[in-house]
Amino acid sequence: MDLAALFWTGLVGALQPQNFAILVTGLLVGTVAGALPGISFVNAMAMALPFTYVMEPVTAMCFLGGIYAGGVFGGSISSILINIPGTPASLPACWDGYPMTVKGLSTRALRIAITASATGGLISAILLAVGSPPFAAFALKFDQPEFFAATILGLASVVAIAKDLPVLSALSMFIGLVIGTVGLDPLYGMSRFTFDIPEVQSGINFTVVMIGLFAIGEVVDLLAKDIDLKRSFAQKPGKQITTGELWGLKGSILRGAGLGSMIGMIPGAGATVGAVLAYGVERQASGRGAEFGTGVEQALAAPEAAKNATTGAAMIPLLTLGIPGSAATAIMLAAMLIHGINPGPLLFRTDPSLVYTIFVSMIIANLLMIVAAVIVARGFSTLMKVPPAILGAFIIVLSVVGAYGVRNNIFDVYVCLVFGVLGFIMKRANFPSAPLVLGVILGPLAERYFLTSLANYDDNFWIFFERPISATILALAAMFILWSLSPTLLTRLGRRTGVKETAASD
Amino acid sequence: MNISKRAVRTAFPAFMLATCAFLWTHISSNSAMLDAVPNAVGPGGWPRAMLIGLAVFSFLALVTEVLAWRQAVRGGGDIEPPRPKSENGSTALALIGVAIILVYGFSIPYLGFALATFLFLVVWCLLGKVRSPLTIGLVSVIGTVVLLYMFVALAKMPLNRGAGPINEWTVSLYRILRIY
Repeated sequence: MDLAALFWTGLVGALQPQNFAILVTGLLVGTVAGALPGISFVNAMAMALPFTYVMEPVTAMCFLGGIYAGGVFGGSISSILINIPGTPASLPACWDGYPMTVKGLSTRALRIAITASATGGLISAILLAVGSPPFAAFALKFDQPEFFAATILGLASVVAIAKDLPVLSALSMFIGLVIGTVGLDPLYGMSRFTFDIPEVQSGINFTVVMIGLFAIGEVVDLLAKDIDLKRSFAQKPGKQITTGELWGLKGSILRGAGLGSMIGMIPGAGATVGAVLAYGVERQASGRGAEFGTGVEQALAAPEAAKNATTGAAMIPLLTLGIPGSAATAIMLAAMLIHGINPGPLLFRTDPSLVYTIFVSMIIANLLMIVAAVIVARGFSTLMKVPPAILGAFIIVLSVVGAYGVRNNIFDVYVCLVFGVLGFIMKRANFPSAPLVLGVILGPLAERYFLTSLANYDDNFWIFFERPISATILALAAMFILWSLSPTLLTRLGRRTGVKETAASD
Repeated sequence: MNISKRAVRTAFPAFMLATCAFLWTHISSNSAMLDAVPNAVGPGGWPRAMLIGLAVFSFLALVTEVLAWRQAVRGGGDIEPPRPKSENGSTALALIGVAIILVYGFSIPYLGFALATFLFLVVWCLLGKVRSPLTIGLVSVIGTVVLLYMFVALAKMPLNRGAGPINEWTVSLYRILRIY
């Protein structure tokens, strides 16, 4: 089937009434969840998982894709209107979006944010559709050592991205990697860390870990924070923005979208890193750096575009290699696995209609996001009146059902609750929890690829460095690690040089 | 940074170090069988490597935290300004919340999903300072019924019905709701 025919199949699939309706529902759910402080779109996706069990695979992916696209933007609504970021990635929107609201330009700020986010998301979705197939074709050359190297790159980038907390991120990741070894080993079927508990034989399911850490942990933390959710926002809509004025922001939007697309492809980076980096780059590129923080439109547009541009790009490693780079794509992986779909290069051959329906639905989601965002922004004041206690209670119940639904086993609920407590502790102590989840997901993959590589290549440990593609990927992983350690090493080096110079001058 | 947070940040890696030491000798119930596998790495090799990694980073995190704590003490107190009250929140309330969630989860096999969820919604609303009996009643009753329709009737999930008489009560409820 040629590319046009595949796109047509995808378009037909995405526009099927049930798929389209569920996509719109997902968009609205995601935008609302993103807009409500304390409930991130990742929570919403985790809670939506049990609903996908009864859906067709394509419908399930449309639902989660809609929540993902809508949720990444939704956080900016509360950032701009009440100065509370709905999601961490919406923090830059507080810096220049809220000052615009204070000046009575809330509608103008929202329109800039919606346009920039939709454009960024659209560019990223097109990149996903155009870039994934050739990447998947290239990935067909991958053997076990290359997949192992790609998994290691994913793990290395998780640590590298957390530049300010590399040790804590690595610690969190290794906790996940150890949890990933629980259960039967992939080659010999020998039990490890099971302590004769039959339910643990099949391992600790990463979906259960995710639900516990993100949903339950967040709700308990929300309870402890005592956020005032009833603050009113500016009554005056202020001066509207014209199409011409929006066109004047094209440079900032394109810069943000380009940067976000690149960042999104790196496993572990995600929307927050993309948005913050885009803000920093725009500060240098716009020529108005000194005014940033006072309600500069470029400073709002660039991170908004970058934030949503990470959504499509983050799905490239998921669909082509089966490696999720973020918590959101990990949930999508969980949904795919539940429906018996194994993402990876072969998926493009075995089920191209599913892949292209996902592509087209992501494009449609970003187009429809403009409508969804306007509706949610208008009804935002009503939503904010729902007491967080009630919202939190339902999040917990849905999390419990979600954990139970993974295997219809109450043991998974207990595991989920334990991870919920751990998530709360980690959040209060500022320990990053996302590396833990990625460790649980990537650990078993890394082990399987490592062991099968050795089994296929006569226990040759050097095989990973002898094959050009795997050696290149591993070199990239090493560079990532060195890049993350460079500030610490340079500081130490600087201190020592300083000490020596002081001693010499004495 | 306050003392309790410092204590957690120091205790966490220390606990992980102790966990590594314990798990090292408990990878499998039969260690001899684990090492007898004719493979360069074997089923025990990867977990051991991960435990070493965890131990190394736990140790590094522990040292970093202890040094930072010492530096803060020498510097004459906290190295960060105290956070506003709204961000400190109520730890006691959060701990009660954790306890309620745990009780809810662990009571499901005995009370069944329907009753446990109803009670949980009531208690959580009270904990969240929702005092209106009408609101609490509507949220807990309608919430439970909607959840039952969604998951039992639509998603066909075999949610726990409880033990003994509660099982019979849940079945009666399902019959009234026409989902059994």
